[in-house]
Amino acid sequence: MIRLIRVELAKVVRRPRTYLGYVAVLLILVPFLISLHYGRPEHFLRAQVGRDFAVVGTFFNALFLAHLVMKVVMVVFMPFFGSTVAGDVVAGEAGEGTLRTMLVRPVSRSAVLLAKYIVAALHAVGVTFFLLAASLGLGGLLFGFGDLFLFEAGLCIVPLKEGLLRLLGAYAAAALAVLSVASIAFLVSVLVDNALYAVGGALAVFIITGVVAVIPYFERLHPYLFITHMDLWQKLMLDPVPWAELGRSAAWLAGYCAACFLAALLLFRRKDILS
Amino acid sequence: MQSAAQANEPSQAAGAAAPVLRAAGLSKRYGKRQVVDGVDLEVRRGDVFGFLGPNGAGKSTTIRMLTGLVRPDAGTVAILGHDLHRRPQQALARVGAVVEAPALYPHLSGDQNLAVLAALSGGASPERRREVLRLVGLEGRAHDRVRTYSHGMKQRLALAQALLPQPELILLDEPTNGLDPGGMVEVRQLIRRLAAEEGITIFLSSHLLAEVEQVCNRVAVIHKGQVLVQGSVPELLQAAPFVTIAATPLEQAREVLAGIAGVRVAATDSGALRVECDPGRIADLNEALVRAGCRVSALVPGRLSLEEFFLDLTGSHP
Ligand SMILES: Nc1ncnc2c1ncn2[C@@H]1O[C@H](COP(=O)(O)OP(=O)(O)OP(=O)(O)O)[C@@H](O)[C@H]1O
Ligand SMILES: [Mg+2]
Repeated sequence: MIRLIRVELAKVVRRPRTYLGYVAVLLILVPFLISLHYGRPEHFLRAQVGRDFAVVGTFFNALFLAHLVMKVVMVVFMPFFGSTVAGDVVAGEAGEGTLRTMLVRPVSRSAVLLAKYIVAALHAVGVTFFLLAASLGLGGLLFGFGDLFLFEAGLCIVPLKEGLLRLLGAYAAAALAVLSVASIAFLVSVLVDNALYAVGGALAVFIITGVVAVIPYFERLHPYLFITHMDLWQKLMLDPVPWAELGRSAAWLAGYCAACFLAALLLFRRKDILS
Repeated sequence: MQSAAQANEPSQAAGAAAPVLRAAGLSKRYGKRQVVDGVDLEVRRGDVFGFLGPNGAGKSTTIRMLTGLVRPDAGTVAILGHDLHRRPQQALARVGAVVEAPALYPHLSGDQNLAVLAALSGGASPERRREVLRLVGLEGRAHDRVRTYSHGMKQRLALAQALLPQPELILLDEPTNGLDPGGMVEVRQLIRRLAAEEGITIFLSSHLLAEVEQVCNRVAVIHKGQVLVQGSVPELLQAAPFVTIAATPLEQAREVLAGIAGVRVAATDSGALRVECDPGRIADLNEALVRAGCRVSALVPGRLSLEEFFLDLTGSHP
């Protein structure tokens, strides 16, 4: 199994398109860096809280950036940057035909698929944490470190150390949300011959559930939609942290990931390799 | 057959007598089209087995079923005594295959491709990889990306990856497809050498009658998903060589030839006679014609084309 994971990893890390997500993360940080560099905290506060504050010094720092950027990109962008490899690992090889070269060898299809899922998951989690690392790194360089200002429920100032811990937890929770979308892409990947279709399929599922999630008529479905649980990371920014709710959402998302993998496994084991 | 293998327990010993590959009643339908229809095959140890058929006959689909890529609707496959469906890993443990056009990782080098693929069947040392690359004549390009390879080089790298796990059986799907004449000769020589020197049993598909004749000792002919005949190449393919004879006057020549024992005038087309006879007797025919006062302008020994061969087999030849 370890050998299979290493093989999959070797193929993925040498493929230039794997790094698309990482480049996109860096690009997305640029407008944030500019706005924080040239913008003024007072204006930001007025927009957020609706009242004028007298600000002494600044709360624009690396932690603030890491949190701010998350609020914007976790909604749509990150799930897709995190899904590119998941959509590619099976469909890409089916398209290139290398799936048949692999599977005429004496390997268990289940083991191959598990190795591919693990690599896809590493990418989903990796891209998410890359966003944290990049915003802390670039933010630290430009704005330095300091206490984390939260405006979720009034103003809450979290000391640097606790702020870092909360961010770490929030990104871990967000990685799980990203992984759940990646798992859908992975499932579609088993059915199609092109990574774009797989990521597109996951996008379609994402949009449809997103629509269902905002239509009141479907209110009774809402607790069961994965999209309802995707903002679980925000709970780590509340005071006090609602651990029970957070745990429930995490369990739902983990369940979705497992269900997608198992469905993919059933399909893959029976699939006729025709490409 | 099965009971014999079971009785002879340590089944490796029994494997020597059992066929290397046996398929029984393989069938596959895509949508409404019956693509493979009750195919039986038996490949014995040491065979270079030709799987001959025109485009769309179902060769690749059959090979996909023989390698576990496609699940047959009906029928069974046993490789080296292991049932492919029930024990795919045992069945494929000593098998190398190239299915359809070579499919390799374009962004990896030839050597990296071999390493990655070998890891799926127990690994191969760098020495072993170098050895197979040398065998197929790619050692000079081992570290270039496969993206930069020509079609012939990819074909040879695919052959190399099939050879990596020191297989007892390799399955090759139209291994000379897309190669230039020089490349074809090289690959055919390599195949013969692998069979003769390394003792590898080879199953190869082809739509070229001449290719099967040159490299194979046994053949199965597939047409529209069904195996028409199966047997030794000398018996099946070299049965009816013929000579095309152009002579004037044509009618007289026809009568003279028809009078010779063991000679059959099969057809007349475009001013020439198609005569079926032992190729060793062509000089005799010429002499008889000249003696009878015919002027012979051409004497061309010929082989049945694949088309004609199929027409013969399917019985629709005049
Ligand atoms: N994925 C598929 N879906 C539907 N029909 C298919 C598929 N693959 C092959 N076929 C059909 O099955 C038949 C046999 O195809 P196959 O590829 O096995 O033939 P072949 O003998 O390998 O031909 P060739 O010499 O052209 O490679 C053809 O009629 C083809 O159209
Ligand atoms: Mg074919």
